[in-house]
Amino acid sequence: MNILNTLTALELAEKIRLRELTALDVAKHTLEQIASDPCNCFMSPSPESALAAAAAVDTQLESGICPSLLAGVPIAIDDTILMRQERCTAGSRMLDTFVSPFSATVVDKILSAGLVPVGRTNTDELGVSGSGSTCYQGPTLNPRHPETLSGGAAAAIASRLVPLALCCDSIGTPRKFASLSGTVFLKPTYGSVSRFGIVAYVSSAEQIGPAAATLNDAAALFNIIAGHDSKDGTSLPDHTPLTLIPRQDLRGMRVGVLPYWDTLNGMSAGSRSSSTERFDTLNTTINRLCELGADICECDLPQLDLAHLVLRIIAAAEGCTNFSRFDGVKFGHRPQTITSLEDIYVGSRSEGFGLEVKKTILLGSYVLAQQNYEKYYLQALKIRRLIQDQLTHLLQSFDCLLLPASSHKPYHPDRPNANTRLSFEDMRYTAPATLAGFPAAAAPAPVHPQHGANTPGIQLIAGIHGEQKLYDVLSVLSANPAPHL
Amino acid sequence: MNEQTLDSLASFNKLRFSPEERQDILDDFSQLFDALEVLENVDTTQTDPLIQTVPLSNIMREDAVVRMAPRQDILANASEHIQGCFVAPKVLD
Amino acid sequence: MRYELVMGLEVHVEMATQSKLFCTCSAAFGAEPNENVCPACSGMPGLLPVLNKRAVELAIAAGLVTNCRITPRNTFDKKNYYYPDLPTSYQITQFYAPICTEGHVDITTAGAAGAKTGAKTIGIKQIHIEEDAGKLLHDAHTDQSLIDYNRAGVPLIEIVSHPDFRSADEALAYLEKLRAILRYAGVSDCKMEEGSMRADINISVRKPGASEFGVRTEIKNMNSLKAIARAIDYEYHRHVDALEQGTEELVQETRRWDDLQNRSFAMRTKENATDYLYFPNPDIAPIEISEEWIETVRRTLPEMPDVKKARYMEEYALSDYDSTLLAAGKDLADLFEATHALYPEAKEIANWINGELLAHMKKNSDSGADTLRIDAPRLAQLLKMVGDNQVNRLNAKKIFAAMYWENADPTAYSHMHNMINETDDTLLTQVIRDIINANPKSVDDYKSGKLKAKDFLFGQAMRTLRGNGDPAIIRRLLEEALN
Repeated sequence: MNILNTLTALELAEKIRLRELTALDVAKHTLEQIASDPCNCFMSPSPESALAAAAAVDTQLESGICPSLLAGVPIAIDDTILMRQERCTAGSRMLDTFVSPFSATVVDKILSAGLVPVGRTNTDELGVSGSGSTCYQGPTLNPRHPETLSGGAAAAIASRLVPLALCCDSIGTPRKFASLSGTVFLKPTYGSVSRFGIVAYVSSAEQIGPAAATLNDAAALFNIIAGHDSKDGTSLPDHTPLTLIPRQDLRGMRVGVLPYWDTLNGMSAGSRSSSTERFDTLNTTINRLCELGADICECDLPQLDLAHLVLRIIAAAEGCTNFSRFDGVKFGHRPQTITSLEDIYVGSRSEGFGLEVKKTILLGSYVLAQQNYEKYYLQALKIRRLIQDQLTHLLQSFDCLLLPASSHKPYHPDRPNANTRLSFEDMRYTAPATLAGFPAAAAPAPVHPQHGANTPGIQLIAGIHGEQKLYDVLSVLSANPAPHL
Repeated sequence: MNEQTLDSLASFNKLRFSPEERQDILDDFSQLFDALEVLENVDTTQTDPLIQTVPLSNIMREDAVVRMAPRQDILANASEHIQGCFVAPKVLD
Repeated sequence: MRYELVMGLEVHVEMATQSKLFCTCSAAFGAEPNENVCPACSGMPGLLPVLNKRAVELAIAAGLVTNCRITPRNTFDKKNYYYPDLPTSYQITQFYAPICTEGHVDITTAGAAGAKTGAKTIGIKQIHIEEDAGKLLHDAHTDQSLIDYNRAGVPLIEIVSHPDFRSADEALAYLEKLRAILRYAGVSDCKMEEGSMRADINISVRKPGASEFGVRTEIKNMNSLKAIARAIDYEYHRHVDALEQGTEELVQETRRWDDLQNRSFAMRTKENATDYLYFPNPDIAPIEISEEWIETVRRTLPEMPDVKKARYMEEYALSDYDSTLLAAGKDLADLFEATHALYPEAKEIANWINGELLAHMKKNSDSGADTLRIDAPRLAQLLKMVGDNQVNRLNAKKIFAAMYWENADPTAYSHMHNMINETDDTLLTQVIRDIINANPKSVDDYKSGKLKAKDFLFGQAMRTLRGNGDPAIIRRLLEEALN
């Protein structure tokens, strides 16, 4: 079964379809691997539902029905995405015993498509911090650099425990951790994937996206989860699915380079690289793009520097009121001693939430207070519009924009405060696409696989429904990495 | 953000903090609000707020009853329930 | 009056939809606790609000019948506070862009000693759509609060008046008028006893002629007209006593009305929370209401009570009194019109509806669906029988009671209980002759001027007929026979 660790999701699905492997065997093997889970990727495995789903797919395939291109493939689901009858904690002690009575729309879709959910992955508590340090069941390690942290889904894929995962991108954390772990993550256009069933944080921006080891796998999964949902009042009408046929080259495509790269240090000495060689991701990527026929040009966004501040305010405001339902009365953590209603509220929330979530709640209520509303919240929303307008304008001249997905500075397990500060800084890279609602993908840089283990990834942003352009550029890049020097 | 504001925000949000946490929060917010000052300099007099990034309007549904979950599922996560009701300490008026 | 009463009312009305405002749970009244509840209206994470179109239409209708301006671009906001009956710790309401603004309702007060009489216009500041909260019940055994979320998420409109009220009579007249027009428009059944209509009263007093408002206190969730009248009276005197005699210091606050003790109490919890952190709900797209949509709703509205009353006076020559009563309730008016289509005697029908029917309805303590119980075909049938002298009025009343309480059919019932008037002239003449022959002393009394003797003879005749005679005919025949 070791070949499972080298097959892509699409290849695995083909073998299952051709009945060289059964979905049940694959599921069993995956569950065994998850059981050891050296990087602490999983909150909890879902053995019963996994085996049941796998058996059901096998039955369908035996009778000649193939539900999708990815039927039979194991998939991990981030713990902020609800699944019926499964324990869903969103990384928080508050929801330690919460069992959801219903499933997110995307979960229904992947089950119909014959995918096999095998377990729920670690996430920062309620998706808030992005530091990798706030999941109440402990942090996840980055399998590429086990002395640093990662997100549960990204690590699970990077360590080949599962080939696919669904992750919720609220402030950009999955893009960042994909980039740090050498995997792929696509944040879709806001409204193109249903938000029904997410433990909500940044309602006006978050999207569930596919995480995978390869671009094609992520794209195939995207096609399954995207689509209009009448249960989500911000859901866009159906759009054309991605065509998974890579172009020959990038002739005719225009890529804008946003001015982030002078802050990018690549690898910091001593943390990853065994040699003194500094690898210039930017130059390699730009050179590759040029060589493959793309037009490259520098570009800028006047409010780029402010995007992370704006997002911090909006995320805090929306998060604060999304989390106020967690009060211990109807469900959720309750304190031991209760003598009054106030005891339940304060005890439940003080014991159930971590400090970062509490800070976000405080900040949110601060910026929404009458006397601060215009100065902070409204001003943030207005700057958000400026950012969206400017991105829209840029994306009329360019098919997509190139930037890093993070500063690539490492997150260390024993430094939660430093990680929180770093995460806030790293929001600079992910906030623009988040605020505008535009699709953005994080993928490995087009370096030769020999160097790949230590190289930071790249991020591309496109306009509304521009996922095809992201796919086009990234697929050509990944099919044509730089030659080994 | 000062001690008094922190108290009132904590109270509104039903949160309590240890003295160390309070100091952490005050320091953190002090830094944050310094950083946020730069937002005031942006000229937004001609700009409307952007809340929904997608241009949708009039999203409504027909008035039909569809049951989502049976009552036992609704009560299943409560630490206690009496005669089908959720339970809380007596609410004083 | 040394102090003028100044009041505003905020009336919460539950809209007559099948499902809740933002989820597909049933909005029906009376289910077992938490039977009509889903993860959304019990505060669980994951669900998203999707607006009920019918609620918007009913809110537009409410705005039209109160002469409001309909807001073209509507948004929904979150109002944040903690209370166990609020499952998500925020209520979705319309703070920044309420659906209706600046309307009015015309009222007339009957006028008691000292109170104003006549017509008045009450200004409406706004109407907005919002979710209702759940219900708290007190469990005496365990001394805990029990929470039922069936009502959480039911669609409400809140109708906010300007502080135009100057007396309890005006407030009651307004509430009755609102109830009538909202029932007419199909917006709500406005049953105060079931909580589908509740009022918050904002009261202050001031010297007559003053332009400033006094300290204002609020009494919330009143659901009985009588209690409202008592509460207003109490609060007025409490305010006046405080100002004149210094009995207490008046503060702006929310108070609770205790009807058993007939007084109000300051509320212990801080209902006067400061800041609700209102902000636009990002899950709900704006609602643009076009002129066409407003017209579509307007076309579905029935004739309103004021117009109907005027038409009844004009077309059917009914009195102000009769027309007012009939037009006040749409079900009464509908019954009147349907009966008239079958038996065109307007005054007669009005008498029976405003007299007998209303009396029976009042006795009917069942607050369930149908207290009307009388349908047009049966009513027309009965009145025709009366008009044709088939039954006399006394029997007709008995038949009507059976129709109301036992669902009786008038023709069948009257025959079964031998209530049909004897119409055979020969028989009647014979009966009268027999009575006269059997009572010579009464005949002599009558002839010597004692008119009451005729009544005695009449009574005897009716007894013989077991009550089944047309009084007019009996009297005539008796008259003829005596003279």
